[in-house]
Amino acid sequence: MRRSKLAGMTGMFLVLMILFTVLSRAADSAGIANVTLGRPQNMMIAHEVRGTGRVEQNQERAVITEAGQRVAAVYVNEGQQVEEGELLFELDLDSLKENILAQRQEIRKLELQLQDVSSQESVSEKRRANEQAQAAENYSLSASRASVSLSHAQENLEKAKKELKEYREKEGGSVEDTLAEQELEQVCEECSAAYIQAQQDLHTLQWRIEKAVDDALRQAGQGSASGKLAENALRQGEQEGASAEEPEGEADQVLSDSLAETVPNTQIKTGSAGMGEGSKDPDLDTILTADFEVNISESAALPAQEKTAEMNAESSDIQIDDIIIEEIGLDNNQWNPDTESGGGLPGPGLESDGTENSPAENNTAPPPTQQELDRIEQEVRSQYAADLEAAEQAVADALAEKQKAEAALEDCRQKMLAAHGSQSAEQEQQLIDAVKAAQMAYEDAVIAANEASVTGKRQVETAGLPEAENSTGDIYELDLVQKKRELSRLKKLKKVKGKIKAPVDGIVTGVHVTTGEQTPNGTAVMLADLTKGCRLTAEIPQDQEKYIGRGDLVTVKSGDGKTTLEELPVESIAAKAEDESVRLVTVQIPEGRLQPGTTAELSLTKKSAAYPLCIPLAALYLDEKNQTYVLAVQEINSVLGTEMQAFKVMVTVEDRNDRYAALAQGSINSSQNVIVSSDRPVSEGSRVRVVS
Amino acid sequence: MKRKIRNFVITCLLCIPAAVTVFPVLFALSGVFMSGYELKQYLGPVLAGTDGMARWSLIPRIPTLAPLVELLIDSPQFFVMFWNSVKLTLGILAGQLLVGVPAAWGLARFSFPGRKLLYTLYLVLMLMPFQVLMLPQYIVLDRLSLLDTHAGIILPAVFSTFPVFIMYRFFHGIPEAVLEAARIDGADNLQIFLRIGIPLGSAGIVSAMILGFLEYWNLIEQPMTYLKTRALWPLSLFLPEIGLDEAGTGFTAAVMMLIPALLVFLGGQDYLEQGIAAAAVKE
Repeated sequence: MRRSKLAGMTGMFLVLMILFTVLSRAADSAGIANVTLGRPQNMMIAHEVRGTGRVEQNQERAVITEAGQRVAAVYVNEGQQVEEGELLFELDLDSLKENILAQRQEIRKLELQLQDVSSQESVSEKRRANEQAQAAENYSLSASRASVSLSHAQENLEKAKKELKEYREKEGGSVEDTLAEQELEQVCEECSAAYIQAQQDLHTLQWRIEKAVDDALRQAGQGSASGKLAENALRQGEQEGASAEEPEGEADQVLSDSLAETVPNTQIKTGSAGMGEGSKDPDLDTILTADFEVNISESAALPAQEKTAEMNAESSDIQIDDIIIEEIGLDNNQWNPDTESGGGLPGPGLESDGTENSPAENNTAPPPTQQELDRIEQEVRSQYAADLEAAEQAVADALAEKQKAEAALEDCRQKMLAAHGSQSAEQEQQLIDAVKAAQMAYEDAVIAANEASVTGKRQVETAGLPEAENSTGDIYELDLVQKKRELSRLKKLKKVKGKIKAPVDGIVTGVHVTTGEQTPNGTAVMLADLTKGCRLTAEIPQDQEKYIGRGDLVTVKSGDGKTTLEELPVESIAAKAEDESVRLVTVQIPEGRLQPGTTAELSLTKKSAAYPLCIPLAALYLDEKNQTYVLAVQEINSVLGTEMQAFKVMVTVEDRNDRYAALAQGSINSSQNVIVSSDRPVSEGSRVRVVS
Repeated sequence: MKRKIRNFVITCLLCIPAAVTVFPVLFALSGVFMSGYELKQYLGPVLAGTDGMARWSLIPRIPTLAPLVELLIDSPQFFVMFWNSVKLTLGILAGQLLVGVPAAWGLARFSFPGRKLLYTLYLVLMLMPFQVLMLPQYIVLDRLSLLDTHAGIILPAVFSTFPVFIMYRFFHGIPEAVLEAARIDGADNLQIFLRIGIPLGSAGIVSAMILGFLEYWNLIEQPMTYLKTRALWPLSLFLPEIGLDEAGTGFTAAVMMLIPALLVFLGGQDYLEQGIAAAAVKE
């Protein structure tokens, strides 16, 4: 019994094993891929390039009309084909007439405004001329007044000296004392002349500093040129500063040269009366006489003032001690430069060389801030600081020398007085005091004359400054020209009764006007110009670009399939701007075959040379390193018996299309079978069942 | 009372070696129901070289039948080898029945010159290990073109001397009077062999077959030596191809391999004991 049970269990065990043998066999068989083998073939790889696109016109024509005109009717729609001269839309004539009228009124307004501007400019010009004449007249009068005062002071001085001399001759003093006094007097006069000269130099320098500061600030205020002009002013100041460092003994000549260089219209005439080394009058030996003349531009319309200045200068024939009066360099609009010194250098701060900026450039530059103006002024003044200090020191030194000489003269006279009797000494002392008073008055008159000269020149120059440019008139003129052109165009529209027609045969691709609304500022109607033909622009993938080139003949098929155009040359191939992976292929479409807007397909088949090892693309695999391989089969001896197993053969692809790949020779030959199809995924080592 | 205590102590002491003996079977059985992840955790340090020490649990944490299903459904190779083992074992045993039983009967019951020498030769051949016979057998099988065939395994085993030796003992133990009575009744030698010898020596035959089954079911050296075609391999060569990833399958295959041997052992346990006892009796 026990053995029978064991026998039964054994039998059951064997039956189960048989059952599971069958099951496992079935399961294993179901897991084996059924593959089809094939051998590489000798064939050509055909590359088919396909792309779709839309037919576009070669050229568009924009129909543009005057903006702001009311549209009476629109006769076309988008997509409509029109012929040349066909009515597109019509403008409202009443509205057009009103616009013409309004345009004329605008033109009239502009003309009147232009007249007003012209009148204002004329009045302003006259006012400026009067101001200049007034300043020149004031300058002339003050100069003559100073000359008269100076001549009176000189006469009083000579008279006092003469009385003292007569008194001493009458009293009969010692000759030695008289000679000593004359020498001291001469020294004293020289010191006095030096002091006056120093004072004059100081005033002249101060005037020049102020003028340089004004010029620099004015040029800085004119815009971007300010920097350069200010630099010019600074450079000029440096030059003058350098000249001021000349030895003291040459101060007169240097100053004269400096003024002659910096003021182009300066004329210096020295020694015209009693001047020169050969002068017999000892009182006049140290006196330099200078007369001056002021040339005033004829355009300034100041003949009377010019004559007055010349008369005063010539008739006075003044002997002015160490006075150098320079002519004033003014703007060319007010003053004509003297022909003799026309080639001279321009004055400081007023020079206008080639580097000066144009008004347009000045307008574009931002105005300088107060801080910048202060800085510019500071810089200009700092350039003259050394000169000014030297001039002030020279004045102080001259004054000290003068006082020392006067003290020595006074001692000499006191000794002479002590030698005389008390009665005559008192009388002589009175005469000496009179001479001293006259001498002081003369010096004051000389200084006052110099100050009057400087002040007058500055006023004349200020009056001659140019006014700011005013372009209002030019702007009005430009507006007037523009308005006239617009009026001309409106008249033309009215002449054609507001009818806008198609300029060429074409298809309406855009209508931007609406009945009852105003015409836009840009295009009113856009036309596809049919006379220029049309083209197909199709998109192809970038990797197909190498199979198509310019001039290749392609086939174009319309989207509805009704029209097929063959052997059309490729006009261009270019990358798509929005997507670098897409190429745009352009083909010219023969006239009349396809309408703009039509969808069409472009195709091209290009065959390669014959490759000996071509396999279906399904037989080609790509591993994780992007290397290509094929799967061949081999027999293996396994537990289950002889089976077919796939193994990897690395290959190199020479060419491929969407169906076949051409392999390089070497790794595989034409007699080797490879797996070309499978009913399930196959990898290296997979057991396979070959079905054919 | 004392006797009971003594018996209990003895039983406990005997249980220790019994547990050690049975542990491999329990080991394999628990492995059948373990997942691959659990097996890797336990055996990784040994089979995969991971850190730590190998350990084992007789109770799976997550019991699963996946290894069993995988072996029975997804491993046709196992069944190929199983049936190869069945084929080899049954072929050898059948051959031994045909060849070994008459040989043992002849040696035990017939007197002829050189019998003793022949029997001694049998004993010497029985004692020779496979390593000694491997090369001569290989050359002979090669000359006979029996290499890489199941016949190359079966034929040498059919002429094994061990079952002859076992059966010799049983045939030799049959009383001569019984055989004489048969001769008096007119039975010839063949009839005596078939009607008297085989029935009376059936215990020896069966025990020789059981011992032979256990030996040839686990045959491993001869197939490894003489079989190159994997499709001819017996089940004993299935396990060496199992790695850590298929450890569960390996345990399942081991258990499945154990089942036939266990059934044969249980069915022929008495004969097996008699056979072993007969082999141990000194001439």
